[in-house]
Amino acid sequence: MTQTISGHELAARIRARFPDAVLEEDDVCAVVKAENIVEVALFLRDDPETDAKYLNNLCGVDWLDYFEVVYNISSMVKNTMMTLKARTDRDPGVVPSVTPVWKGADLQEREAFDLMGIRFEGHPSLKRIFLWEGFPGHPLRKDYLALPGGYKPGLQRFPYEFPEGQTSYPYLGRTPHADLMLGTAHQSAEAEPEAEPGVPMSERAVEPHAGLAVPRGEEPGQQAARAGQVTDLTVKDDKANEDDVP
Amino acid sequence: MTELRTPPYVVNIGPQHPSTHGVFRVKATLDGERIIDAEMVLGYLHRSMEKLAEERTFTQNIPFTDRMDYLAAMTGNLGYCLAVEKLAGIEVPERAQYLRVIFAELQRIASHCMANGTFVNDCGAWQTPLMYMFRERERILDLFEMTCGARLTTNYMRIGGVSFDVPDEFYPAVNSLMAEMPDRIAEYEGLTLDNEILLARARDIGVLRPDVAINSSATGPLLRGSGIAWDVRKADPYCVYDRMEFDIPIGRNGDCFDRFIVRMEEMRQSVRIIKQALEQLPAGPVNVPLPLALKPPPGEAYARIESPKGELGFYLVSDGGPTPYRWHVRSPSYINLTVLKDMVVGLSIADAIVSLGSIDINVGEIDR
Repeated sequence: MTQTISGHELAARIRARFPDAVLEEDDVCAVVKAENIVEVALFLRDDPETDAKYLNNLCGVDWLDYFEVVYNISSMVKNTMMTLKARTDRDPGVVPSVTPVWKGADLQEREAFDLMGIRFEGHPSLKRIFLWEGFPGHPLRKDYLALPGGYKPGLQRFPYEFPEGQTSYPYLGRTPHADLMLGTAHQSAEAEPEAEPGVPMSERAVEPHAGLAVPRGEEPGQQAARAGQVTDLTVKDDKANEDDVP
Repeated sequence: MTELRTPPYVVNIGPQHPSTHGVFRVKATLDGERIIDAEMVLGYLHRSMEKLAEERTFTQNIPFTDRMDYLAAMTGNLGYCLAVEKLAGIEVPERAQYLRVIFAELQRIASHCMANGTFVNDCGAWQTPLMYMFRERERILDLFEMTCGARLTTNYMRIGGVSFDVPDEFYPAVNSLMAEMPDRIAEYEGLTLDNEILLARARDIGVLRPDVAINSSATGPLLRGSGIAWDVRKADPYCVYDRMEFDIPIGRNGDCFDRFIVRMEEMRQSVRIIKQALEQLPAGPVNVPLPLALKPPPGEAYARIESPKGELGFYLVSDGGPTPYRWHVRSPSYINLTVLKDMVVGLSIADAIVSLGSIDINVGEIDR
C-alpha cells in the first residue's frame, strides 16, 4: 500500500534545507514559492529520504487570486506519495519549468500553459498543444468568458434544487411524453371527456391542422394544382418533350 | 562509393492515417531515410472535458470518462469514481468492489486484444491476428452489453458502486469465456511469437531504457516492458486487488517486442484475477444510495488506477459545491507520448510506426 507523506512532514523536510521556501502547509500538501520550485524538486528527487524519482501528475489550478501548480510525485522504491505545490501571482503567472528534473513534465507543462496560461520558464518548447496558435485566451482560467456582472455561462445551480421561495416546479400540464415516462397514460385518457362517445377511434373525424400535408376532402392532385409554379414547370417540360418527338 | 547528401525534408504522418490510431499527427524531419526530428501535433480530438466538467455535477461527469479512452471505458469510469469516493469519503459495498474488479479486468483483456492486434497490423502481419483477437473482444463486449446495455461507452460504474448487478446469464457466459481464454491466448501467441514478420520488425526497435522511462513518467506496459515491475494494482491496491493473486510480467530489453509480450502475459494474469473474483464474489447490494447533487467537502484528492494503458489518475478539487472546482485527468496515453520523440529519432518511418503502435495510444484520452 502506498504511504502518503503528509504536507507537514514534507514541509519540514523542505524547510530543513530551504528555510524560506515553504509558504504554507496542510495535511495534504506543502506549498512553496514558485521561484524555489526547481531546487526543491531537485532536492526531493535526489534526497534518499524522499527519493521522489517519479512525477505522477502535474496540473494548474486557478484560485482567481493566484495560480497553483500541483505536483503529485512519488517514490517507487519506498512506495510513498506526496503532493507539492508552487504558488505564483496570476499576473504574470510564471513558474520555472521542472523539465530538467523530471522529463515527464514536458507535455504536462505544455498542457497547463495552453489551457491555463501559466508560463513555464526554461521549458524547451513552450507552445500550445491542444488549441491552435492564436486561440484567444486560456479557457481553463476561471474568468474565461466571464461576462459583466459576474455572470458565468453554464449551469448556475443544480436543476433539482429550487430557487429561494419555490418548492416545486410549476404545473405545465401533462404531456403524452410524460405519460409514457410515468406510465400514467390510462389516467390521462380517463380524465379527458370523450368527444364523440360511442364512435370507435378509427372512425372519428380528425380536425385538419397546419402540419397536415393534404387538407381533408382534397385529392393530392388538387393540392398540386394550387401549388402553381412547380406544376406549371412540369407541364411545360412535358409539352417540350412531346414537341421533340415526331 | 560516393556519399550522397540530401537536405532534410519534412514528412507528415497523419492526422488521417490508420497507423496513428486516431487523429494524431507527427511531423517527422528526415535526412535520407532516418528521422532526425519528430514533432507531435495534438488536439484534433480536443473536447475540453476539463472545462465542461466544472459546469456539471460529479455524477454527470461519469459519461465523460467513457469518451476518454473509448476502448477501455470501464477503467475510465472506475478511476473517476474512486477519486470522487476518496474526495467524499464514501464506502463501497463489497460486491460492487468485486464487480468493479471483474469488469476492469475484462476491459483490460479487450483493450490488450485491440492493442496487440493493431500492433501486429502496424508491423505488417496484416489483419489475421487482429481478427482472432477481435473474436474474444467481441464476447467481452457482449458481456458488457448484457450487464449495462452498452458495449463501448458503458457508463457502468457509479459513485458508491456500480449501476446494475449482473444478470443471471452473465455467469455461464463469463465462465465459459474464462475457461477458453488461456487456450485462446496460446493461439494468439502461436500466431505471432514465431512470426518472422513480427520478430524482424519489433525486436530491438524503439528501445526505452528503464531510467529514461521513470524520468519521463512512462506507465503501464511501456514501463513494464523496460523491466520495471511497477503496477498500481500491486503497489497501491484499490478495490479488492489486495485479495487477488497475480504476477507482474516485465520485459528484458525494453523494445517493442517486449511491450507486446508483456500485454500478452497481462491478459493471462487478468484471466487469473477474474476467476478468483468470480469465486469470491459475495452477495449483497451493488451501490449505496447517494444524493443526486453530491457535495463532497472542500478539499482535493488524487486517485489512480492501473488502466490498460497505464496509470490513470484523477485530480479533483472540490469547493463544497455540487460541481468540481477543478477536474484534471492524468491520462496515460498522453504522458506516455513524452518518450516518443527520443524513441523514434534515428529510426526509419516504418519503424517509427511500429514504435508508436507499441506505446498503445488512444487519441480520445490524449486530447480529452
